[in-house]
Amino acid sequence: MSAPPVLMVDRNDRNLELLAEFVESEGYRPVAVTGLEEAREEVDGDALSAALVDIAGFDDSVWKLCEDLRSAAVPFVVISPEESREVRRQSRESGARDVQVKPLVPDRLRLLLRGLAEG
Amino acid sequence: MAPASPTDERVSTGIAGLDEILQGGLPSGRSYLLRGGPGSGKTTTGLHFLTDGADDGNTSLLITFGEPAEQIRANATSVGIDASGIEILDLSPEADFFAEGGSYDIFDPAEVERDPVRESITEAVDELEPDRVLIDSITHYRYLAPDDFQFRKQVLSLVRYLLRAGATVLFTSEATRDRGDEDLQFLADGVVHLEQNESGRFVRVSKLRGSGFQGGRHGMRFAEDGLRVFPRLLPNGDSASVDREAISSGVPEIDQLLGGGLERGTVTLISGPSGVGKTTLAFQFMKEAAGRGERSAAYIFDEDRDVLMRRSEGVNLPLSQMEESGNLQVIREEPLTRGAGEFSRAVREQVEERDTRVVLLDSLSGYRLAVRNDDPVTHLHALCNALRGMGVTVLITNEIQSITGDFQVSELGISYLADNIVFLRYLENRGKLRKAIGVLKKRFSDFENTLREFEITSHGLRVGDPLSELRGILQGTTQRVNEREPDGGDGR
Repeated sequence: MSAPPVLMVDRNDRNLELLAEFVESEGYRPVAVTGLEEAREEVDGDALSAALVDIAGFDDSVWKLCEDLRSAAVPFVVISPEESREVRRQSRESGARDVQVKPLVPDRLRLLLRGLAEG
Repeated sequence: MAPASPTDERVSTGIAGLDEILQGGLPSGRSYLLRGGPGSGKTTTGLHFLTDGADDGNTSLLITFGEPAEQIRANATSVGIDASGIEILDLSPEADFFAEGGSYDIFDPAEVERDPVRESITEAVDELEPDRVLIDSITHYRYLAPDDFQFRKQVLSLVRYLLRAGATVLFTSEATRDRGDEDLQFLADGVVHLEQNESGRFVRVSKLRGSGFQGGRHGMRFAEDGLRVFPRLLPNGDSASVDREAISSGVPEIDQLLGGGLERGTVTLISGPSGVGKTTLAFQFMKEAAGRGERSAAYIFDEDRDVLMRRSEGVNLPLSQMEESGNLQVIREEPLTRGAGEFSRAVREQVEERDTRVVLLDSLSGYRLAVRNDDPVTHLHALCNALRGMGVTVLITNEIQSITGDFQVSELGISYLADNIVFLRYLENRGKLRKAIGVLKKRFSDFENTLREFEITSHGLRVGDPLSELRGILQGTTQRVNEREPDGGDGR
């Protein structure tokens, strides 16, 4: 059985590399994209088991992507560069399961991923 | 942090003076902290330690987190150290990291970097089995640890790992005012501080488990072959056992004043105003010493060497001849070229290597200005004690600012240093400026408690009979005994 795919959206290449290493080490198949258009293509394509969306560097159109993930029934976590009430509100409204503030704690991310992928 | 089986074996630091301070070097198989501000010489000191090991056929490993390996080797070469025999594990950031935008914030750097760093280090240690390791600097681990507890744990475990592998470990730290390194000082088996200020460079040891060490600050300097350390002088030998033979000045009246001469292993302060003849008197003793076949050394701080040599010839002091015959060395000390500690060491080495019996420091204030140190008098004290113990007769000239007037021996409060004090004065008598010589103090013998007139002529020093017919000599304005008014020549 192939590893369940996890979409990772991040503008920073190095962040994506590190996230991909982590996700792969947890037994998932990382699907890494730096742009929102690429991300939408992935949402429209393979059945994703979960998604991690780092909103840093994106404009408000990132929330449209989040709504698309909700419509496609892909559970996702919003990753934010800072703690923000507004971000939490928008994340909740767009269907995010959780908001995590960077830097991520590996143990917590591991549990979250497991919870997302297993429904 | 000591290994399971501590050893009495010592490991050289590669710097002779530092080994001396550490009483033979660093106890092997332990860890030591090298701390100091930017540019204080931590890496250079560490390189000396590693190259000393490499020169002995040991394996030396430098783990660098800041400077890249090529830069370290280049910098070593520029200060006169050949680092080609050292293995370097380069964990410094690569230029590509900047160019390719390698920064990240998704995870804490401590989470990301720690394992790769650990793996790199263990791989290198397993392969090389180093005998000596320098970690430059261990402060990097603060950024790999999420908190102080983790930092301490990581440093402890890293150092223990290296010690267990059989290495003696040095690590540098970059302490700042905002972030100290007391935790590292507690962890280490020894702590060496490197300091740099306007007075110069200094090294100080504050801790060394399993060994004594010489405390205090010791001078340090970059030379053509790297760093040199000049330990503060300790008293050399037992001054009580020195033969107190009195050495003659060659002028009978001066010997009479001095109760026979100046004893070996004593310090004599020759005090007086400018131009009165202090240096000439000192060289008179050296001329007489040369006549006995004994060597002298004169350290000149104030005067140009050539001028001194020429004018001495004019008063029957053949200094050039004495130098040519090997009985005298006249050394001009250029201002601010060396610290007090280095100077003291050089004088002691001169005495040891050439069996020098008489040493002149001309003058005390010149010495203070010339040597780079914030405590020159303490160094001078140590030097005098060391030379006393070696049986050397030390002469120090000391200039008093006032030409006449109230009597003063020393404006610097250092007369306690001297075993003997000879003072020279100007006096005014019958409208003429004359000179007087007297002895104020003589530790090991009696002395004549009169003043005598003296002259410096083309034939040398001439000293007359005691000036028993005059009074007020020490005030500088004399009058004849039994006269009520100063002697103006017309009896009124």
